[in-house]
Amino acid sequence: MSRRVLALCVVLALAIPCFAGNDHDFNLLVKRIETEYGVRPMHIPMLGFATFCLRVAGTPGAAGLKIAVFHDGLNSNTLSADSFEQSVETTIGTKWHPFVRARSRENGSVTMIYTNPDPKEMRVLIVTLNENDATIVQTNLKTSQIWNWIKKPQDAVDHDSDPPSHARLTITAD
Amino acid sequence: MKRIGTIVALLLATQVTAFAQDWDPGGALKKLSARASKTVDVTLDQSMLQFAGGFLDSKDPEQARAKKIIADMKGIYVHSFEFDKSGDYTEQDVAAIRNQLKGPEWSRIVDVTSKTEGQNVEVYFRKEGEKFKGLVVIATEPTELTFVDLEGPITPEDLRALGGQFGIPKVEVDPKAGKKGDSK
Repeated sequence: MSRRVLALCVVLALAIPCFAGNDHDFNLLVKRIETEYGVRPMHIPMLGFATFCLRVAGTPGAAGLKIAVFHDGLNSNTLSADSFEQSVETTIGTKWHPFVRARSRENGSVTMIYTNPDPKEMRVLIVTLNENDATIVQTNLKTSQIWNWIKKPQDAVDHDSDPPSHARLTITAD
Repeated sequence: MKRIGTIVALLLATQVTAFAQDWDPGGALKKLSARASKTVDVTLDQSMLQFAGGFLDSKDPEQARAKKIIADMKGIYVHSFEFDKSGDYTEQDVAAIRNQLKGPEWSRIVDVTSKTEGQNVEVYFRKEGEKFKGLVVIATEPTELTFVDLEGPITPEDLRALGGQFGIPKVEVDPKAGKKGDSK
């Protein structure tokens, strides 16, 4: 897993608010990918400890961050982006609304961002498929961040980064 | 039995009318997507817009204006394409999409200028009687294409206010545009 993904995780963990603990769809998606593609998510060292520390330190919601990284066997070289996308959407269902979808022809990478708004918060599910890995991230957006996302939705996807389709959450301090 | 037949016929007629009015460039967009080096699709459906509206700050003028505009909107859909080099898309590709905006309910706003250098912008609006029902923006640059579909009661003036947000290009629109129906 790249350092960039870890950095993204930390940024997300710092930014998220209280989390309702609804990670059913995330788990379902990880399971579906495991079954369908015969891959296992890699263990992220210290992630649990890091989120625990953040919670103890008073950063609310750190426990809500969910990340799964598939490093081997699931990448843009080995499968069709269309079928992967279809598989994701079938699994998460219609309560997740497609928000941003980005594709880069250069390396076949795909980023899909789905939202699941309810009256109190906006849950976000980010699925990226790159040349060397696939990543699933679920988190909540702070209400103060929602405007940033709505205002510049394309900024949620950074095509110029390396790898190009990694989701970039443009999160600012309150 | 006759009454049921009439109802079915009416329902079918409604569906046909609705279909005729919808802007559905799916096939043309797919072709462009296959040739583009990068593609970004943004979907802000009604539930998302309503949800977002609830969090917008009425004290902030920009957010307050956006809140008012999106309150009754049904959706904002943005399709952006980047190409490696000029000539990777053709005028025919754009025409395939533009040609869908030629029904009697569609009009083109003539006096529109982009605030982005080198960008050409066309704006089409859909009206039913005096009511605005939607807008389509086509923004072209040598290596970039953007199509924006705004569904709902949005006026050309609203478009100017929303420019630069929601993935909508910044445009300067004649405030009088659409009031009497512009030429197509």
